[in-house]
Amino acid sequence: MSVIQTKNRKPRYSFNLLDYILIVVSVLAVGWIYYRSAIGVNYHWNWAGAVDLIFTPRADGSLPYFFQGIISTLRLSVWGMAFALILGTLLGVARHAKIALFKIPATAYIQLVRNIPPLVFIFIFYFFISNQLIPLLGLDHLLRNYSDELSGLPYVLFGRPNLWENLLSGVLCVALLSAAYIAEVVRSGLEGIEKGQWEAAHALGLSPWSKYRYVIAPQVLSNIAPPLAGQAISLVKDSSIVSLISIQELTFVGTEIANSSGLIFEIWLFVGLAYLILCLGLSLLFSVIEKRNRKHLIK
Amino acid sequence: MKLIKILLLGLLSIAVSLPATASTENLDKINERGTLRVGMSTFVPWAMRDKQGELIGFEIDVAKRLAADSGWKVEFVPTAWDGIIPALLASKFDVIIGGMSITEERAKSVLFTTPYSHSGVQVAANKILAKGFSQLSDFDSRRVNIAARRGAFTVQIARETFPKAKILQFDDDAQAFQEVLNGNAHAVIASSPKPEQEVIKHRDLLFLPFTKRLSKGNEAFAVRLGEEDKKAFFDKWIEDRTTDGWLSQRYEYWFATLDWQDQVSEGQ
Repeated sequence: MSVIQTKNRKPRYSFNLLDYILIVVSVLAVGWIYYRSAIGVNYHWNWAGAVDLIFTPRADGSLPYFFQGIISTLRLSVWGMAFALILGTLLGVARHAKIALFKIPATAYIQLVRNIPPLVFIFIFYFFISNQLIPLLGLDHLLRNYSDELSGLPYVLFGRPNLWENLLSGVLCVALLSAAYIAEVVRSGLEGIEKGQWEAAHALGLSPWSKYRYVIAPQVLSNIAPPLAGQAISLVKDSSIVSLISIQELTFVGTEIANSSGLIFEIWLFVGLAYLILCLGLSLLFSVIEKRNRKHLIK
Repeated sequence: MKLIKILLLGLLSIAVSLPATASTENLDKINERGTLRVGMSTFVPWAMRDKQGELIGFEIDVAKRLAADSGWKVEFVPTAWDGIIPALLASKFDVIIGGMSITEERAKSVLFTTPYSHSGVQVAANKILAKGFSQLSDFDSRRVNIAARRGAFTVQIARETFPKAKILQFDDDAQAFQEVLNGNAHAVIASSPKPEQEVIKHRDLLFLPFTKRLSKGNEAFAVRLGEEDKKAFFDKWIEDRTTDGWLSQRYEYWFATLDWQDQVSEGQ
């Protein structure tokens, strides 16, 4: 009985000589880098000051400025992801379609966005396109002149009304960029479905909607979940480049605090840590979802 | 006949009233909204965040007073310096009050008001690398690295004064000074009083090679080209506040004293 139990248990890992050598080498390398940065960089670290700065609430008692930046980034990421998923799926399906009217514009858009630097795209989009688009939709009056303060859930979701225009531009930028990559993921997912599945759905006389909804989509979804998760994580990180067009998210807030206080490295390390926590949290979440999705495949 | 007369009269009155309404058109927009939207960028001590994350600084005082005098509320739009002129042109705000120096290049894309402050440009040098340097010509060499804030007026001054030196450009002043402290650049060029203040903080590492400031900058508000009515309105305000000494008194407080230092975190 006891023999069977030990067999089933995972073998405990034991360190061998190579492991010890590697650990010693890593510790030495870290120590050397720390030593070099301590003598090579003339910088007075002031962690207490930085921590104090980050956790000091605003004058009106609301969340500290740094955390407002984190919340902005979250808001930007959530809306950006939602929008990018919808647009990306549509683009991916269009690119996979056989009708040129759908296929050509989708392909053109994807190739354009994927082959210019995101920074250039954002600058052009923000200053030329979004500037024309928002007044055209009549949103500028609504966004600028909405004066009631929100509270509760709507506030958590949308933030302060005078920043709505700002938020919308940011969400559009991030989402339009990410949609091009998501479209490619969706397309590769669609192409990965065996021809037999399409033919079988067709042979059963399913309507296009039923075919996609009950035959194709479930298979595609479980296949593309890992690359989609990667895309979502990179969207959170990429949202930092919209700080350049003054969307007040984590990176922008970080720049402002670092410049005002002179605690450059401390603040930037905190900004890095915040992104790390956000993205690690997301990857954990996705790995749980992935496991659940694949349950039916494990016997 | 009567109809024609009325029509003519109507046309005439439109013709007369049009230029009159057009001339304060841009100003009316602000009046209608009741809020002045001001574009600015973090830049000690022009505009910065205090410990609580609120905006303080010389520009902030100026913009608040301007709005209070004109019966408006004020809304600050913090903007990355690299994109501040495009953002103005894209109507993200009404005016740049951001310590922007008047230059010929900028005057091609924005309309400057009369200057409201005159800051100088000063150099802080590394004591080891730039040992014994005391003339402008000492720095004008291919071997010399000079750090400056990108897109700023100081870069232009550095290019003109030290044409042979290598100019290293950084996103903000803090990084530019750090580069000199680290011994990667011989000197940093920045708007006064930052170099003077940094030299006091790092006596053992930095010094001021020149006693006189390099150049006198003229900072002004910037509006979009063609918005003459706004310019005229701001010009009048600047003139009034210059005459009664308010501008120089505020300038004195932010630039010549460090009384405000305890409001921001003590870095470095």
